[in-house]
Amino acid sequence: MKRIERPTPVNEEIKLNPMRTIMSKTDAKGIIEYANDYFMEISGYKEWELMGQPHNVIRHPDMPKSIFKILWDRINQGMPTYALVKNLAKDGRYYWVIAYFIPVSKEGKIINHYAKRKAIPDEIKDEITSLYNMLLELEKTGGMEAAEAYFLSYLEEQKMSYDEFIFDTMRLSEKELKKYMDAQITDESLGLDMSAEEAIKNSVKKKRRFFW
Amino acid sequence: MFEIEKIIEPDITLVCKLNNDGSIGFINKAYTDITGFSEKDLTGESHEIIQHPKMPKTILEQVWKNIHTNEKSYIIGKNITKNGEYFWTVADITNRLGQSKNPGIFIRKKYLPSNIKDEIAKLYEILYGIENSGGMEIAEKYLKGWLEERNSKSFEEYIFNQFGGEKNLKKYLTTEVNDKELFSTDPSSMNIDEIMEFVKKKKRRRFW
Repeated sequence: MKRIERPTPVNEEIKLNPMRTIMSKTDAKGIIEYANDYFMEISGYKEWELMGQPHNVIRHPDMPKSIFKILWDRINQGMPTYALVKNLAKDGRYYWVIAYFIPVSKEGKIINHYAKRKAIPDEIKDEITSLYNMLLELEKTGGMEAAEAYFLSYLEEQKMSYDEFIFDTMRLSEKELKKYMDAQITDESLGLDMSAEEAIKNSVKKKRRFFW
Repeated sequence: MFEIEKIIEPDITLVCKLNNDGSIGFINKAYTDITGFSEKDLTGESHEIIQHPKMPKTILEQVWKNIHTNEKSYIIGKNITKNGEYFWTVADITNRLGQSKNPGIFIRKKYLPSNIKDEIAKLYEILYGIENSGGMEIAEKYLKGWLEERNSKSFEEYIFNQFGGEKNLKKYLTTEVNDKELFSTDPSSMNIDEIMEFVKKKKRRRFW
């Protein structure tokens, strides 16, 4: 099967509906096995183009490799992991998400990764962009190890674990973030005009999941 | 070819018997009435002749595997008529090849409610596309993920869930719905809940 070529980025953002979830499932090596409707809608690919392709076709060149290294180190240890990710759509546009990766093991071996992704507030995109730009610059000059070391010492300085860094950046507790990640709607038109901030506020204050 | 949908009324039951080799042994009158094929057109021909050419292999292979191990399976099928229309059905397939009296594979098809049809039409189009670009293995994995998202372990389980359980589906497949009231409604706009309301009031009729 032919590998898809990664598109050339254009500096235009795709606005996500913060009430919808982008979902995908890959095998242990990151080959896409399944992606939901919203994944296809936002990425702009058709299922028959994307299935069987490596997940990194949606990887944006603005993403530091060191972040993925930290991410994969954790996932490969079987730890469900959050990440703030800029993704690349088929037409070159980008979209920011908070992604939650869940490794699934069978007989002690990871067989699949499930991921769900939701919109993040603009404010957080700006913050994380400055950190990622720093890491990218370090990668260029000192290589990935330098960038990774910088990030890890940054966490150490702030006396934060990786998870705490995510919760802190999102300004949410672990429980609150989970609620936001789980909030779903069936009516696709709902939430279209909602900002990520509003959607987070709404889902966090709910005791139960959304039912409409 | 096969661009126009033929709507069949929910009271109609299409029955088809296949021989050991997958050729058509028998079809009921409703089948010839609906499809426009004559008995002569179909008898002895491969079952594929009445199947839409874009039915995903992923679905078909699973069904044949099921009926050879479980003797019974369910399928949502896209069928064709002689003059090039298509129609959707939900069916049960019973393997009676081992029976001494009237052996064969029996397929009983009924109208597929519109709310299920939309989701399935999209799924089949995707599966057919993946089969042709990436192959069967990738299509099977896609189907697995699709079912997982819908809390189903198998395609059969998904069909049962849509009909509110296997029992309800069996009831639907074996009930003659012939209310005048039902006739007056366009069946393509009728969803499963509305149909089951009628079905619940009806008695079961067995074909075999």
